[in-house]
Amino acid sequence: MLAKNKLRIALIGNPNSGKTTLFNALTGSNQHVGNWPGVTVEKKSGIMKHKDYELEIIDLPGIYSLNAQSLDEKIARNFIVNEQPDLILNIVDAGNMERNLYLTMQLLQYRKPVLIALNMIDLLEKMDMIVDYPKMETMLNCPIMPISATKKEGLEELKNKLISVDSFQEYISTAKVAYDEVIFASIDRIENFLEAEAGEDINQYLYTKQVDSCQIDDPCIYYGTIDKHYFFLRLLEQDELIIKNINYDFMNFVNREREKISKHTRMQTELLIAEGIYGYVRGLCKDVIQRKTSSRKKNSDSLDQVFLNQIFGLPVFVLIMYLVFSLSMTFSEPFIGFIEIFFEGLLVDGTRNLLTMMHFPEFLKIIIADGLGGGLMTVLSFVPPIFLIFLCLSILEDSGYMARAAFVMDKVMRYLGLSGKAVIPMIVGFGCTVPAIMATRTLDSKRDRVMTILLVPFIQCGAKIPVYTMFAMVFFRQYAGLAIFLIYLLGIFFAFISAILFKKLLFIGHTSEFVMELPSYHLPTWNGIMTHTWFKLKSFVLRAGQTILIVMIFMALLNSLPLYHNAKDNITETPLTLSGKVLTPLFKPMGIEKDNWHATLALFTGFFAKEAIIGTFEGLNLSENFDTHAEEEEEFSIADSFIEAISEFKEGIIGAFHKFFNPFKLEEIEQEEEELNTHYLKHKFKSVHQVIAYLLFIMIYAPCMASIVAARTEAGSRLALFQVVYLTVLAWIVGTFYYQFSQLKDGISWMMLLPIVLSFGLLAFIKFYAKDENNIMDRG
Amino acid sequence: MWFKNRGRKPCGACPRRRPLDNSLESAFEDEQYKIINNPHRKSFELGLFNGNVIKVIRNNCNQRNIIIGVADSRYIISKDIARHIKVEMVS
Repeated sequence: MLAKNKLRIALIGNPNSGKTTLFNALTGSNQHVGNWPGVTVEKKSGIMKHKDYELEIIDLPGIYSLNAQSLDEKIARNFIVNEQPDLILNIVDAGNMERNLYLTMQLLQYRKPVLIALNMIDLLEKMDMIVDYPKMETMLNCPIMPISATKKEGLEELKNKLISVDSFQEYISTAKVAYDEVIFASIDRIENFLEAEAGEDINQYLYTKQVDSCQIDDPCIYYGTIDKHYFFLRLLEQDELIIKNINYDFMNFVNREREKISKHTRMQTELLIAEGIYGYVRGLCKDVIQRKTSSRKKNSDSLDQVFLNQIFGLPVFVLIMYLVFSLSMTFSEPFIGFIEIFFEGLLVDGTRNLLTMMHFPEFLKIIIADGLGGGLMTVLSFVPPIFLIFLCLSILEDSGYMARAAFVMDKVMRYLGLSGKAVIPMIVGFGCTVPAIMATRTLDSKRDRVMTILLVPFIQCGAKIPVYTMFAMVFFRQYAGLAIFLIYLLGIFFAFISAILFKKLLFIGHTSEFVMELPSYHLPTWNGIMTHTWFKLKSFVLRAGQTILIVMIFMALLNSLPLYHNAKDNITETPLTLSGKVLTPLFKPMGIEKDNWHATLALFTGFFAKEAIIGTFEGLNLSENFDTHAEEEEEFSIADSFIEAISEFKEGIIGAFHKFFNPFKLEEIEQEEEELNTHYLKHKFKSVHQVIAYLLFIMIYAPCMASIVAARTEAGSRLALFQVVYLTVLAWIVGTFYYQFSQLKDGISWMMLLPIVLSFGLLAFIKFYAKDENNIMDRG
Repeated sequence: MWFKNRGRKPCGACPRRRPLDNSLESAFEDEQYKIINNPHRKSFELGLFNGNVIKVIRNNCNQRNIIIGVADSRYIISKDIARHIKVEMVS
């Protein structure tokens, strides 16, 4: 019987073959998402519980072959090679067997246990295809389980098959690919050479340094760890994991063999080997598949006539993006309204009342009710827009549209020095910068990856939405939606300017060549999109929520610690007021006045998480109203709060539909007008120009700490540092330039010179950085 | 055969581009081609191996990529790669 302790199964297959759907179906809610060591690439693992067995399933990034190029492909390959899973569960798209079996044949030749899950068998009938499974099993010498992960067909049989063997070793295939004769002859010569030169201890001869076990972050394949025949074959292919640390003389011999093969066949050795595999796979497909008609999914091609149209493709893309944001912003408003009314009542007022009844001291009430309760309410209030953005992005990803966006945007992206593929991380960046930086792993060249990482922060992430919404509602009430839309456009505009600057100064060279599959359009499944959205939202809320809570409590605490009494202004100075006041002169050229030190502090906390900007303003405002709060305590009722929140929600939903279908109609403002006119922000910012300069700074300056860490992990500390300095200085230049320009009617100030001088400084900084970075790119 | 392609300009026929040759870059839309020589490993492994028949779905002068069909799959291939892939039209 199979051991009942946790056995590890690696789930591997081509992109879009249904891997994640199968993973979700097998593991249900027993999933864990983390990162692979050393990189921020998502690592998903889950436990499949079946009968008395618990099997750990690891969902690997999709790959077409074991000759990996991009970062995520390398991770999948390295896991298979170095982590030695107990079983490789290879998922094969039944509708595209020829290409999928190419990877299968590579896996089988490793002589590791492999089980094939032949997915999407429900489509075979539609495609007029009949597959002879027993014959296929015999030819591949490997068990095959026909399934449909989407329709959950064959899953029980697959689970039973997984636990029905005594050992997974029974699933090691002995299938042999008939390569060209010259390949076999060459392998024989290499083997003979090695035996003659190395004598008994082959490893000592073969490697220039001590053979040690391989790690996932330092992968390698040593002689003796895989099938000998396949080792030599991969050697001829110059597999980077095999030629690592290998003897120079031996490698010279192998290279001479490669030259001989190329001369003889007029083909590169690795291509001849690939041709051998394809020859085998084609023969197999001919034998096991009966096909009555040519089957290409015609719907996909018809849809592509519109989505990839030379004239309509770009407007359709813009329309889709507009719908995503319009939908997210409009329909999140009623939920935000509900949360703000109900949870403010419950978490802030309710807690305060409870603490008053329990005779808690006032400073503890501030920390618990206003800090913790207010913080929780702030976190909850930005869940609706983030959820809707992630939901829309998951639908776009699962439907197969993202690849089309890459094609449509390629021309624009190439103008910026990037390939069309780079648009995918940028779209993800509208949700959150961290997964966007992670998404750059799919780009093939290091140059494209690094440049995209630098540009992603210009795409305004979901965390900034509450900040923009609050400022827009207070200062541009009638045009709030338009103001936020303009901020998004300005972000893209500065991304363009920076991309051109980087192309000219930093990343001189060619845009990478790219090959990308256009997957067939899928109707996303409810389970699929909700699972994707849930994981993204959970990770985002936990990360950002913690920061907001900590910042709000910290602010409340710091602001309640008196340092000394300032007799001149008749206020008690706290550590917070003092540090804000010390830093504020730096922002004076962009319109932040001395008494608006709250704005400076908010920028500082925004460096930890952008949502904390709101938390800081709210926290400081609450602390300033410390005395009034104590006097203003009112009767509180959860039921009243709930009724008020429900009525607000009802009105909000009707309003949202109205607004969504009449986007250009200005809102009628009757309620809240007075409240907004007396909003505390109106006391902090004296003019609209100050607000705009401040928002421009927020739009551009350094991304949050989590993004910086992600950038550091993906591209190194130097790049992360460059990004922080570049973005912050650029933000200051833009903010100051705007504010000084807006003050021209009062005469030219010497401060106007500051952004101009600093612009030259920034250019010099990029040039200085470019010197070393180009060398790094060449090496990469 | 010349009359069959009248009015359709492959990228290679663009006045600003390379002269017409037997590369995939200059292939006509909606035509089937057999791969004669493909030196690009990634596309080779995706199914553009020598002898395989592909269909050119999209090839416009003012786009930097072409779309091709290999069996049931569709791929975007940049013209920098397509330029090096030699093909011949399947009659």
